[in-house]
Amino acid sequence: MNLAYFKKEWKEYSRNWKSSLLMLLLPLFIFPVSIALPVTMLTMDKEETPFYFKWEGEENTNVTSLLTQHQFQQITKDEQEDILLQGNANDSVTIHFNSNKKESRYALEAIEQLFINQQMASLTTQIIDLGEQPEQMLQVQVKDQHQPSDTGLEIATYFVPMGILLMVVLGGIVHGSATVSGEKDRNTIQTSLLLPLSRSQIILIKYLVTVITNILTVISSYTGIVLAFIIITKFTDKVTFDFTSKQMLMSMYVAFLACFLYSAIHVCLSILAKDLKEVQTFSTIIGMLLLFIALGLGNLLVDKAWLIWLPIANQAFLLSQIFHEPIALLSLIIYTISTLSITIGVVYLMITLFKKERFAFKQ
Amino acid sequence: MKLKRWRESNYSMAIIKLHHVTKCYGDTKAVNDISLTIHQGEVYGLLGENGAGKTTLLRIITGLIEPTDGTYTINGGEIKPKSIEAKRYLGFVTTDARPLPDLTVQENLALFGSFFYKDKIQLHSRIQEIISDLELQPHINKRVDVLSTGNKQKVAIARVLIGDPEILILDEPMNGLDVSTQQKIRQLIIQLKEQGKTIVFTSHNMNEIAELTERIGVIQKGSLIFEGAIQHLTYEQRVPFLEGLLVDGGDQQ
Repeated sequence: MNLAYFKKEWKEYSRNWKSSLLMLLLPLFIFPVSIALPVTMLTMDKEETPFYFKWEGEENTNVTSLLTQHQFQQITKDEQEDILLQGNANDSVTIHFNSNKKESRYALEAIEQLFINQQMASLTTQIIDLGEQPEQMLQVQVKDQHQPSDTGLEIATYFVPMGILLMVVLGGIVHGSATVSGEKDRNTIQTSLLLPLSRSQIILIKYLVTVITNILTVISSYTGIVLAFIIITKFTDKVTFDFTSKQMLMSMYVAFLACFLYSAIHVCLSILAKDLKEVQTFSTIIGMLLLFIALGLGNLLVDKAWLIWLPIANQAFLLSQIFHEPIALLSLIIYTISTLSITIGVVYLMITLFKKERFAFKQ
Repeated sequence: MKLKRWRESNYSMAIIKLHHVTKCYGDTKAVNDISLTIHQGEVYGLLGENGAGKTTLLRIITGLIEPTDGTYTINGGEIKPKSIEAKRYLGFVTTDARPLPDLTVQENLALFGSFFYKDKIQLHSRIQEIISDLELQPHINKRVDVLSTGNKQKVAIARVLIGDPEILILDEPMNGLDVSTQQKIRQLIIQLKEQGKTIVFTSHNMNEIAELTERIGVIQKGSLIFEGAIQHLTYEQRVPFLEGLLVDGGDQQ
């Protein structure tokens, strides 16, 4: 690698300090705001408005204990309860609520969510609406439902793939798209081509700088996400993040590898476009399309193990699975091979395009 | 050193030789079957109107583009066209290869010089020498994008000279410059010729060419219509060119 040209590219990147700083500072700001603020506000709001419940018949102490640990308060007599619980034999509970009353509806939703989160598999629940359609009996069977048991985990599995992949794509657009087309715009591309370097060297150094800057954006994004987790746990004890540093490092590995692929795609587009304006349009459309493919397939087909073989889609799949369960080493190896294979293909295309004179500079 | 020894013993040897070179863009022939020879140590002028094909021809010589047809050799075939060695051997100043606008004059020269000098002291001394030759001292710490057109052109020439190329190719070097800067560049070309450098430069100004060159080539619509000493250019050959000059004489891209 030619250090002088690397230095030149790095200097040019640093001189464009507005977009560089934006891509480094934006994640530090956007993740705490978009994750921590709504989560903290929602949990704080729940604490302010307790729901009142009353037992009728035999009291189930497990249920009472669960409810009083959260935003429920038990009342005994002559008070207006939001919800009435009726204890029955054989570990079953009948819940009476009034669908005409907002508080009663919310209390029912909260109970259902608690039962699901706590996986009270042995508890059979019957729900009776005392509102519009009184006496209609609904039966909710909590058994066999598999849901995350932790709100923190839900937040992580939702925001990490979406946030990180969004920043990888944005980083590719901002850093990658200007590498060649920016030089075409400034009439300096021939200055580079006339240097005593081969065209392969020139484009590979440009690509390397794009990858490094993209990785810096991803590091900043993870810092922003961790910052959001810290803020959430500081302001509420309702949400905990029970991850290991190994899970975070594996997640970062998946994201870093994605940087190599997206950077190559955007540098390719930068070569193909005639100027900066054109490449920004192309890069945004293609970047968003890839993001939707990755997130769409990765989240919709989350239980399909074969997704690990599918490039692009396997990024979101792995980024969310890493926090759920231990990832087999084989899965990471398959992901690495599939991502590297497609990246090498795109890099080869990138070099071939740059060697063609019609793409190298304006005629 | 090897090149200098070669120069001493082969002064009149062809350093650039084009053999039936053609360049097409679609149906348009930008360069049409041009054969010419440029000798070691000479100042060769290419005269032509806007869009005549001068810049395309220079781009072929410097390896930026490939000819559609024909061949060319540099230094009798010793230097492979488009190779890294050729890029060190040829210095090309063109409006399409500007110095980096976001960097200062000093940074530009240090950056490009670092491709040629490993030793920082040597590089610094070379930068000082070039800055002094081109009278760029007052602007050394200014960003290139705030400089005047004339000073930008001086920086572009300085950027190329820092590598001390054997062949210097100047595409319309006087364009848009004031009289005193033009005079400075004229002096520089003479000085470089005295150092034994080969210089090829294009212009649409016949006086400029006549003052500096020994031999010229006149290009019209992609074809070389004349090659030789400017005094031998016939009246018939001058007239269409001069008419074109009067109509189109301006900025050459």
